[in-house]
Amino acid sequence: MAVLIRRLEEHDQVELFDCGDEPLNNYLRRHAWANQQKSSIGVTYVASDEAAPRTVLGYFILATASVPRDAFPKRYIHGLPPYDLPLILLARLAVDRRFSGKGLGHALISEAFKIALRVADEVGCRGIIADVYRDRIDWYARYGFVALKGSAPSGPLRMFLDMRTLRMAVKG
Amino acid sequence: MVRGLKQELQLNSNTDFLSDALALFHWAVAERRRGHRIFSVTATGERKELLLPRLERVAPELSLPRVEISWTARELESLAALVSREAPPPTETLLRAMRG
Repeated sequence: MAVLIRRLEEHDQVELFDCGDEPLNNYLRRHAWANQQKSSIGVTYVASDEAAPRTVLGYFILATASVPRDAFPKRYIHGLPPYDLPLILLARLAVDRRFSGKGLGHALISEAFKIALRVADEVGCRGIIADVYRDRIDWYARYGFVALKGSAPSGPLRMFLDMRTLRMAVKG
Repeated sequence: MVRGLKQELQLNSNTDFLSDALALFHWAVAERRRGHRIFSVTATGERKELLLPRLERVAPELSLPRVEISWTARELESLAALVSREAPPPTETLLRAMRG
């Protein structure tokens, strides 16, 4: 299987996508295209097989965000750059369960990292954040994401990957 | 350069030259706008990416939309602590992701 990862296009087949999680399925089927094209809420990248390039096998969504400098606790402000902290939000990442276990998740997150690096090079970015389902924490941690303290006890956990770590990885 | 290219491409008029050049540029912009990257591939499979700073301006990954995120005070404190300290080294899995 030769996987292509590219931006979601209008005629991509998303209706049969099933990652086993209805909110993630529903987002791709109902909202991803509109949010990308009309609302500018996030850019959806999809994985497809070269042999069936319109069938979506997996996807992730990226957006940018920032934290105003004065939102941080005062005792940390002196150690921070004198401007808002720019971040990339990895909003969702899902793989169709018919294709799970084939390394698609790894291919998707690798591409997300590469895009994040290019964004960081062009417009600046301090790190990647992701709101992670509790049963996927270990998977993200394997890539170096660190859990932030203070997330609600139930629901997704916010995790952070430092862009400096990503740059170190590029240098090997 | 224009004369050399016209000769090489056997183009007689500036109009034809400009028309072909524009078609190529138009295609490159459209591809990049769709998030596609542009490569040349040698017979042995070596790839070289076309990177033009002006072309990169239309790349979707560089025009990611901005969203507002809500944070708890403890999350912000935790984030501030992480970005204030030395970054951890990459994990083996991350190294593998960036090598591919």
